[in-house]
Amino acid sequence: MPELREAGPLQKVVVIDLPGQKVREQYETMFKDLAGAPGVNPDEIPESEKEQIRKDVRDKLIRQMFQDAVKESKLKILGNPGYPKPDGSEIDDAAVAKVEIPFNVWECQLTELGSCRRNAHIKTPVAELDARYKTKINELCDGLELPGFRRGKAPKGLIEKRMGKLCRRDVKAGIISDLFQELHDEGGFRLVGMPEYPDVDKMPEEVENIFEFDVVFDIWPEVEPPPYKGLKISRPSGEFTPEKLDEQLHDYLERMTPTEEAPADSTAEGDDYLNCAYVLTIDGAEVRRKDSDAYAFMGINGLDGINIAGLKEALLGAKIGDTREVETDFPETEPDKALAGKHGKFAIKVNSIKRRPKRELNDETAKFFGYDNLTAMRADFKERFQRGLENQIQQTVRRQAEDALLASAQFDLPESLVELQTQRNVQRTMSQLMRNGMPIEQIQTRAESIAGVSREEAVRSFRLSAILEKIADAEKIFVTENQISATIENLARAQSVAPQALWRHMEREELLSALRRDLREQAVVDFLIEKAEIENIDVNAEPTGEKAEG
Amino acid sequence: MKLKPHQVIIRPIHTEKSVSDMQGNNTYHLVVHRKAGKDDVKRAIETLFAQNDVKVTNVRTCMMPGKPRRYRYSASRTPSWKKAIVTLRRGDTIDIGI
Repeated sequence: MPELREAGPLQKVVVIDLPGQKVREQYETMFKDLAGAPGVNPDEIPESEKEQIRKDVRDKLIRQMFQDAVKESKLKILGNPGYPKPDGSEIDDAAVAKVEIPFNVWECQLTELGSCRRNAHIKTPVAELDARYKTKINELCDGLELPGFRRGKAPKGLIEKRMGKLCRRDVKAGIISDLFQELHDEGGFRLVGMPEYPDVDKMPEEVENIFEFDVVFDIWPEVEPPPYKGLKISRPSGEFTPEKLDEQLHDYLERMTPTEEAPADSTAEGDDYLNCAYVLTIDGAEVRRKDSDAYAFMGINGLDGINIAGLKEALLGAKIGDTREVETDFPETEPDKALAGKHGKFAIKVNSIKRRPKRELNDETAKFFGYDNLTAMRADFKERFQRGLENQIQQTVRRQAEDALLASAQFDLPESLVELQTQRNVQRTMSQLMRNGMPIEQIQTRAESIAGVSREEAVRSFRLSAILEKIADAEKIFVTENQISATIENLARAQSVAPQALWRHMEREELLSALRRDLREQAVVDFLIEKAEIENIDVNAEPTGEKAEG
Repeated sequence: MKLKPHQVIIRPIHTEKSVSDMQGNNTYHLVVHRKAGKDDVKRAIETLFAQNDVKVTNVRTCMMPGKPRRYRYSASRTPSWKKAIVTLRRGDTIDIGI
């Protein structure tokens, strides 16, 4: 029975008994294998070869017995155990050799810092640090080329003096990440984000020959999936009635009919577009002038990109050639610093008037939009609107299923993960607003509300992901490679690129796992809807999912 | 000019040759002040390493000429310097960072 004893702080020694009889048996087997090989005469096998076999046999047995001894103790072994040098001496069948194998171990204590946060307190013997340091310095000695020395000829002392601190630091950082990785590989938790390793430069000196450190990390929450079968979902349903279709078509005509030049004697009205010239004065001094092509959009009170309250009322009834005056207070957030917070006076002269002609729903209008007749136009638009309506209904149903799941599952999320995703969402929203032409000052004033919404979005998406993943595991819902291929083909067709090229791009950018996860989540939501108790509600919903375009 | 010990010894020379000389002959190669003589070097070593009770048995010195350098169209030279090769009594050692 192997004996296990302490040899120092976190250092142990295993003493194993190596019976000569066992060595003899193994030796005989190996010798027979060698002697039985074709073309080998057993009497001619040299003594050196026999010695090598004895070394191999002893080494193999020692390692095997050590592994068996340690397996029972469940110790966490660090580095390589100090196996003795192989002994090739003659075998004494009656003798039992005592073999001592020293080795280092490490210990870890996990503490809960929150529902999703853990602290790992890890202890290792300094002897392991020293061993790794020695190996590293030896490696440097072999490969380093210092001025005044050929490669590998620089003395160890000099290298230690010049690079010892750096090496020690590297060794510490390496041991920290190695042991944490080992802890992670042992399982028991699912790591989220980057663990917070200690700062090696600020670590205190080792005491009592023990190197200890803490690693703080976030873990994915343990989620118990809520009851997910038989969710109560109300499904709005409704056909596109002829009245609804007409309403939508009129709306479409109003938006899509091109504007035309109004007659010379007409007056500005409603939502006309006016080509104007204007002069802007502040405190009697002219600050801006434009002689033509300054467009006034009466519907939105906008002139040349400036929002002017009361513009529509001022221009109503104006004829071509008329000049109207309107005063406004510029807000402090006005992008043009010269105007911000000031009171301005516009003198606006109307050069021309453009307006959308009223179109009736008839064959002529249908032909104008490229259809054979009104019936064909109605049929096409009905299909489009219906598709939009169905999309919207589908979205509503999915959202309800997701909301029902989220409402019945309460669990915390790792703060670092939420924070990271919130930051990404904020950046994405801000860049989107900037692309849409919103001034930076205005975006900054809304930063707080953007951050709030982004955080809610991040929390929702992570919580949902966690629940859906558990349900997918429970119901064994997986995504096949064929489904991924089909999705990529569809994406490639939509982007007019080769599917292989898109696949390669996604592989390179590591987007395939995200796609796989999205598809799996979609499949789970489909499953939930399939198993839900759906109540149909007849509501004529507005189709917003797909706006008809001319 | 009287040089103080810490002014005489500038730095040790770490090369394969110096290391081999140090290990084989107990001889140390040093960069010293260009105006320092052999006596100055001997005194400086014995003073600076007095706590080791070292005895210098031999000092050889030589001027190492500067090397020509060129930057664009202007030619120059690196400064010349003095090397001292100091042999210590058998068994004495000094720490020069190796």
